[in-house]
Amino acid sequence: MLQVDLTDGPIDVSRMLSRVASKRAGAAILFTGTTRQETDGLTTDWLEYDAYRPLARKELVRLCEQAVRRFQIVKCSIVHRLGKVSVGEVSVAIAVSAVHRAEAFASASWLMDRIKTDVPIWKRQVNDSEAFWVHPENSDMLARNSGRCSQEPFDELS
Amino acid sequence: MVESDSQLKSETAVDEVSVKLFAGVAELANVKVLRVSVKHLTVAEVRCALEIKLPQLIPLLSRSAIAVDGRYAKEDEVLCSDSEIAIIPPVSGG
Repeated sequence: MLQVDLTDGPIDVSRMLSRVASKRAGAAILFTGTTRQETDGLTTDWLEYDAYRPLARKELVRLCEQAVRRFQIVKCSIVHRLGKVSVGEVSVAIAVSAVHRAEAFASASWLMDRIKTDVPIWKRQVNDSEAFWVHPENSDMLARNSGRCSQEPFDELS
Repeated sequence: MVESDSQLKSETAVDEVSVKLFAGVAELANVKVLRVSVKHLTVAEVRCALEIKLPQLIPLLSRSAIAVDGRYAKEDEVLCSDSEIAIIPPVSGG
């Protein structure tokens, strides 16, 4: 059973574990990612998340399906919040149920790593003096044939 | 004569495509949707057209993937003029 969602409002964390409840499971875990006040010495007042929604949703489903196959988990649910997320609020929640705890922990950790490299969601870090989009080096794996343009410029229609 | 006119047209013909921009790419371009002209309808040509039209995008474009109709695309993939094209800069969800 796979349930993924992108939401513009607060994530109902209390519902996440019930989404993955199963009589087959001996373990259920819930991971939440929250906005922290300081990153690399810079204060954060809030984060703003944007996404390419159709592809982000598809990628989240794909990751859940992969996690089920790879870790033999029972159920998986991922919800990511978009828009403004203040310090202390939850931006992402992952719930997993599995027969044993090792698979549950491993799959949740794997899912979080893959969300950070595969899913087209972006955060903008905002404080009193600056705001910038975060584009980490470690997600460059998405790039293909980076910027090697061999064609000559041509007159454009507009 | 007709044949040479036709040949001339095929050599100079261009298509316009619409490209969705996100995050830092949209900020640098100052728009969220951009139209660019391409000689051939391929992903690589769209990337090149963007680099030519907005050189300030090059550093981030070189680290970006391109999605077509809601899935990640390869550089040699052929497009339709109404394909939904999106530039996907390095992601930072979570």
